[in-house]
Amino acid sequence: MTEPRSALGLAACLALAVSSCITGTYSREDRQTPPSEAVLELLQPGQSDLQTCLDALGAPLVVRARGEETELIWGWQRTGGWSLTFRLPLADRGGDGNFSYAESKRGGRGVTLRFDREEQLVARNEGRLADLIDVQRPKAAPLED
Amino acid sequence: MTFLRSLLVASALLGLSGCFLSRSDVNEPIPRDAVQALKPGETTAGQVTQALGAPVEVVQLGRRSAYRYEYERIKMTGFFAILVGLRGVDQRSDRVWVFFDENDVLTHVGSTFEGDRAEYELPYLGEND
Repeated sequence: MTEPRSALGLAACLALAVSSCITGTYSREDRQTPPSEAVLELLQPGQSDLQTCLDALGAPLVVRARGEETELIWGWQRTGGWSLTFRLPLADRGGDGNFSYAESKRGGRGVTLRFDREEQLVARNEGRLADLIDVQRPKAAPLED
Repeated sequence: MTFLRSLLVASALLGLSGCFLSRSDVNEPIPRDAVQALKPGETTAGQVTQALGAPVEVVQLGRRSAYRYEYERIKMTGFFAILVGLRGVDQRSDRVWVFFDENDVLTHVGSTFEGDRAEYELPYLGEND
């Protein structure tokens, strides 16, 4: 009695999977190459200038003005994780229903270096790349009449 | 009978699997020798654009400025069986920032050449790095 039930369950799972109703995907994304910790440790406020930092880290992702200072952001990403998607075709209702779950390990990381007018490193900040780019983005000035 | 069943399942798994490789490039590769020929203190913004073409971004830094040149290569790899799939994306760039003073003379160059290091790679299950 157990065997027919198991076979039925297996067949149902197989049918759902073959019709692409259930898919599990493991994805990994690598973007840019992270610098070594040793290189990062060499770059300290008051001790490094712009060219030293460019030579050590290469070209940054972002360059922008921060008042009188210049801010450069380097970033890299290594993300990996599973996603599970359940999709249900609803042809008679004119669409599809789907549910996705994804978990990922580690996101983008980055370092921000800020330089004064003499191009000396004055501040350094490390963290999540999204935070470094978004939180520190200057607010747009309101339009004037 | 068990052997035949296993063979049937294995055939179904193989027959219902698929894989893909894709590559996409954004912009043209940056000529490394042209970047190495740039001389801070001598090269002007006009000479830079003659050598490298139009930048993808221009940033005003007070009275100074910086240009960004970028070439990006993305390689994707995928393998999909009945229930599970594996997908790998490797994105690398050639990127150059050139900085100019208020007279449009080159002051600094920062360059990264990684575009040709992008690889087709399937992720390994259970990796923890």
